[in-house]
Amino acid sequence: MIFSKPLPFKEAIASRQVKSVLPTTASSAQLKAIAPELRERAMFSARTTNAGYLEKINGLVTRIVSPETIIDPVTGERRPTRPGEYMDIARARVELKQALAAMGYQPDESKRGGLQDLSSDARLNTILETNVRMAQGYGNWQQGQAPAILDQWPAQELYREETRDQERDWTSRWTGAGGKLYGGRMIARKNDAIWTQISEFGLPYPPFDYNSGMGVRDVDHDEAVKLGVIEEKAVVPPEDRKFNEDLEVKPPARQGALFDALVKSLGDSAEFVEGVLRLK
Amino acid sequence: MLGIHIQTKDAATEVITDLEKDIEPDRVAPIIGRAGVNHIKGHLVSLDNSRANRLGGKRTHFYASAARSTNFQITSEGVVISINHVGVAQRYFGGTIRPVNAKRLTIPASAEAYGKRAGEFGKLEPVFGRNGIVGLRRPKHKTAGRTRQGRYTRGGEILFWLVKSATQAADKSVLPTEAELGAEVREQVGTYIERQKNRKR
Repeated sequence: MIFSKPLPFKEAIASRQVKSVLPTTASSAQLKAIAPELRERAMFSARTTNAGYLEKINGLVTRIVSPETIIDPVTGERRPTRPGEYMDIARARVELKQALAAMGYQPDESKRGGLQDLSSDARLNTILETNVRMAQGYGNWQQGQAPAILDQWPAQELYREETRDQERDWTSRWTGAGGKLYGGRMIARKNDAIWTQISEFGLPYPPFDYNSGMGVRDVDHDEAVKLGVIEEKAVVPPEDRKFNEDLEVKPPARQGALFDALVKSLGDSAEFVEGVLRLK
Repeated sequence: MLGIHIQTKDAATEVITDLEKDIEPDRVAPIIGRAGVNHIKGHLVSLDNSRANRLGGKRTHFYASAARSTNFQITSEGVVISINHVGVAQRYFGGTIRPVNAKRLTIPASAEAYGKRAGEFGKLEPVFGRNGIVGLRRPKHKTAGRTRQGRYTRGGEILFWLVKSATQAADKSVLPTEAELGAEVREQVGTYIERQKNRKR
């Protein structure tokens, strides 16, 4: 039976709930120094120091990932979304432009319209789409960690999910990172290190790069054996990003723990000044 | 309408009744869910590859995005597959959309407007028709420049049409049929059970 009311995508929502905002002066290149398991627990954007603005992005992304419910602005309680409240990328972009205007943000003229202009479509699309796809990518990955699913679909294929005008050479990236080709297809066991190695973000689930059109699809046991990806009796053990453990801690303490872990991990190269991460 | 919810209990019942006693139903539910999700995702990605927007604007990849939002949840009623994406149910079921936060709906009139909101274009001018405002266009610049042919004006392009409501016909091809979905689920559950049996022999 087909109905018009979806159930919440719990795993994708959990990946949003686990995030704490991380205002920072750091550039994208500098932020790569942060360990992936810390980055996936932080809501940040390069050179964005306004915590309120990051909270706004975080809330909008959560609404796109979970369009069926909304936190009522009056009661603060979660309730079903009503017509007129549905959130999508275009509407979120408008709201973020309005938030930036209200903050008095003006881009540097020489950077207007580019990725360093916080109000440009290019920048806003990258932030929103990357975050939405990360949540969905994690959700799909997490659902796939059930032992029965890993038994039935122990491998996955990297494939072009969306067309791009200028496509990256993923085959070279795949083989360069040690990935094997099976009849020209980029397939590996789900727990293979190749998935984090091809990722710009160091994570085992898509997106594997900014504005990437690549995705993953399951390869079932029989096909994986036939192709030689796995042996008949191979068992792929489940993995855990430990979000549930983090979610047992209340948000303020969670943010404190994230900041402590960042300082510990980055050492002298990092400092927090009035709640803003600065990387030397 | 924002998304879709597919109850797969019926499709799987036949296979589940064939279960060996020593195969726990709890282990089969995720197979049912994942098989359904995979089949629907594949269908939506195929649609994304074959249905670019008619205006030729920058693609929003609506169907691929819907594919990524597809997931399953195990409930007391069985397995539910959901597509948590705004607009999918509207396409599948069809129906009339009326504005909620404004007086009119905006319909993109140009490739540039596709996937965008009118509020993203700064100040737009109304386009008047016989019964009032029918669209929004860029303001005209009176003396924008000069070519060999003479002076020309810039702007004035109509970006959006304004309508009181829009009615879409139902498009059942947005999803695979329930028979196709059921067949895929049965096949995957069947091979899974067969493998479990073989391992116990």
